[in-house]
Amino acid sequence: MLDNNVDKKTHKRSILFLFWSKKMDKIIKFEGISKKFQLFWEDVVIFEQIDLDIDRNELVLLYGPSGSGKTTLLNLLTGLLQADEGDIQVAGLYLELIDDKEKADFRSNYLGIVFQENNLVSTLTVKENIVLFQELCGIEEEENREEKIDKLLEKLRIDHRKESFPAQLSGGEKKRVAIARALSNDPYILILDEPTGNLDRESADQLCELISDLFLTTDVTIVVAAHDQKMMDIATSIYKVGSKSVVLEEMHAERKKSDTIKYRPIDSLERMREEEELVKVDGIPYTEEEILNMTEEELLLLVTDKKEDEED
Amino acid sequence: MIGQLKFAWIDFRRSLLASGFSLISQIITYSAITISIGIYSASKHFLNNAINVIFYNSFRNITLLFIVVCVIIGGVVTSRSIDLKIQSQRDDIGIMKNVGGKSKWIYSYFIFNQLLTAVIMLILGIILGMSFLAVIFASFQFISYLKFVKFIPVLVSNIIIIIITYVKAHYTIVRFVGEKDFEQSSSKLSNYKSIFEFNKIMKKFGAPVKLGIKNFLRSGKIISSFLFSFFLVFSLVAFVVSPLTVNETYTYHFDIRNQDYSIVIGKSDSLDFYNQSLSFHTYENVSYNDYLSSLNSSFIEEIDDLDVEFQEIFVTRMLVETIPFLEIANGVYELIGSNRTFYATIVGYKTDFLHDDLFAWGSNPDPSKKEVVIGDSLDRVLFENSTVEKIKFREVSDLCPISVADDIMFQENSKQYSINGVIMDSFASGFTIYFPISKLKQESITNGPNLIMFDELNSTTYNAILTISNSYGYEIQDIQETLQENQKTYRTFSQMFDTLGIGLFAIFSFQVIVFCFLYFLSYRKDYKLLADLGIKKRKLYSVNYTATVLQTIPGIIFGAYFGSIIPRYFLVPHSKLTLFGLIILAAILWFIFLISSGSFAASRRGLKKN
Repeated sequence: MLDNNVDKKTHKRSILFLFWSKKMDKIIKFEGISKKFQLFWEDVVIFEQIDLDIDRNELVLLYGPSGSGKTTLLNLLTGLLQADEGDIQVAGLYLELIDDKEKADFRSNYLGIVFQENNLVSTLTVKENIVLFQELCGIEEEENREEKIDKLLEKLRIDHRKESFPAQLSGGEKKRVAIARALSNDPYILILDEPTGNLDRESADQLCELISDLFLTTDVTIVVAAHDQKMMDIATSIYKVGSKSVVLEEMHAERKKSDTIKYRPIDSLERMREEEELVKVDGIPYTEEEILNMTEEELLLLVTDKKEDEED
Repeated sequence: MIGQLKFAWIDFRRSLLASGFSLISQIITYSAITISIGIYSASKHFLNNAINVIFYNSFRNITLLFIVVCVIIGGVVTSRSIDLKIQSQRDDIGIMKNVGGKSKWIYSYFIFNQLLTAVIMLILGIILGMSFLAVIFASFQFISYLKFVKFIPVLVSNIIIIIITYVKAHYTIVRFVGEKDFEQSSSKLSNYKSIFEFNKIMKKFGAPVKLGIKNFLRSGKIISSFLFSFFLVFSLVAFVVSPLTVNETYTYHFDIRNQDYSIVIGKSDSLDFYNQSLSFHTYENVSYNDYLSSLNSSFIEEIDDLDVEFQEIFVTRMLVETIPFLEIANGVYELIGSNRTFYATIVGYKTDFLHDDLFAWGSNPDPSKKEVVIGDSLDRVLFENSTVEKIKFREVSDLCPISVADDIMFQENSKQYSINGVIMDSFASGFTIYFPISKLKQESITNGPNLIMFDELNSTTYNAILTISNSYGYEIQDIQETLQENQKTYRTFSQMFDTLGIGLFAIFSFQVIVFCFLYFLSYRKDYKLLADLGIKKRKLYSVNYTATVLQTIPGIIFGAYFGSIIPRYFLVPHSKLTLFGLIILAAILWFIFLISSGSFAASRRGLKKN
């Protein structure tokens, strides 16, 4: 368990270790997570000491009855809720070690979240909702931003509704817009909370197909909380949530993405290299390969030296 | 920054209809401030040449009151509507935060949104206010005064409102953006303690009034609503009552004055000076130690033989500063108060240097310092019955035992007054002096009277006087004309002022309807849920109406009463308002009408929308 007093430097070091040991394959890691809520004078325990490992290239399905804690689990994952005990690592970041501002950064840069209620801004059109999200994420306006959004909307088959307001859309369309918005910042992880919850059978099936399609054609890891049969048919691993625990039920390695999908390096590592945290004496940043080839001792020495330099 | 601005602009455009009432209320605020400052600067210029200092002070005080009140009401209403606007966008804040928006981005977006709205409404408000002012000025032929409307104070006061807007918006946004564990909007009955209580109320669908009372009691806004409605109604009634009172009071005194004298006889220089004093005029380049031509004593004897009533007056040029509050000590006079300076002195006297009907008054100057003011009484009852300390009769024998040899002593109703100053009636003819009597006496003894006044002359006596005057080379002048002309100008001005006061009343009255809408909006979720659960809309209207009326009626009644009383004594020494009771009643009824229609309109619109 990670000590809460571990400073930021150590935290960054842990990312390095993670990277060095290629543990980045585990994009989501829950270790001994407990969570309870206070309801009047009683404590309601949602999770007790749960562990969860999710690989980088998976489509994970969390299923369970209503009230079993699926949304809570997703909220823990997104940093909207804080665990009472345990460590949550997402894309190499220890969530309890980062402050609210960094969490906002994390959500906007690493995650694409599709809420149960869609959470679209009602006064903005479909396209504006996406642009707003990009602005919120601090994505600089590019010349081809419009084109990119159009492409995304086309991919999600809602390009014909781009000038409509959320109130004018059907449930399925709203969900697609929410997904488009979530994908517009190129997230590492796409999180969907009950995407088919309020949809009719046909729309739900269409959406499942779309999600499967997205999973197979992009490098995004998908975590879905749902209880659709269709979703079960496409998920690479299925977890049952309930009775204060999360249990792996099925694993379908054959459904994983093809090798042709090339994964992007995680942004925080890129940024660390850019921020000259890991530079050679001559000021040139270490390449990914160089870091990967280092031993643990070498890396430790590098980071410790850096720290000592700063203290001087 | 550009992103936030862009979205702020989009939101502004899209919410034009939805937040129409809040926008209108902002325009009203800004235009009302523009109008009040417009009236102040334009009328100040007009009144600067006023022949009557109390008239000047009264109107200046009203206009200052207008400005202060407009800024206060504007500030309150604006910050309230901002609160509600941001509250209605609370879900959007939650969405933005949940998807990973940075607090700084969200904050600047909402601040831009508010400021953009405020600035656009400010521009529209100023345009509207100036147009209103222009129309009113033009219709009363005062359009030339429009150029004296100073733009900078208008802008500064409105910017004060924008700053209030900014501060209020800042704290509200920071509060919402800083909220942790953001909860998405859910249908919760904010006003009821629990679902059990709600169920109980559900069974009482037949008692919307009770429900309304409960809403009112639970609102936690009882005192603030009372204060708001009290202050709003107080100010609005004051807007109407103040100019009406000043107008009526002065009209009354002008009328009395005009009954007095019809012709004045004297040498041309004295007559000219007298006319100047009467008219609406500034006295420039007039030397104050210049004696005016006195009347020949044999002329007065000849007139006296005609056996007609006449009034001898002594007119002298004198530097008079700040009327009437001059403190006199040992024949020295000193400036206190406002710094208006002009030359004008007219003292009426017949025998023993003073009028028969001189009266004494004064708390300012202070009798204990031998500072009693004497005036030319036009309406003695006015002073005797006045509740205003300043113009009450004052017995000074106890307060001022010192007898100064040079001072005039005179008896009246066995009360002894010690006089060492003279003042003419501050109301009617409009000029007032305060002067050491010893100097006046000395001057008048040396020079004798220089004008005589007649009233109620028949054609025979008029012709006889005309012949005598011509033989002495004196001019005859009808002062009635000058007085009437002045009276007309002032009356028009007062009427214009009344109209502007009523205009301010009318446009600010709209804020009451805005208040009803804002009040409804704060309970919209509750009402919506009640409607969804099956309570009839008509009953919801009653619930809302009862709560709104309870929130506002006490404030309205007290506000209307005090609003019609306080400004009258504050602004005019002795105020007259014939329709006092009727005005209170009309104001109360008008506000009840507004509250009723506002409340029903809000319920209808609010429930229909959902």
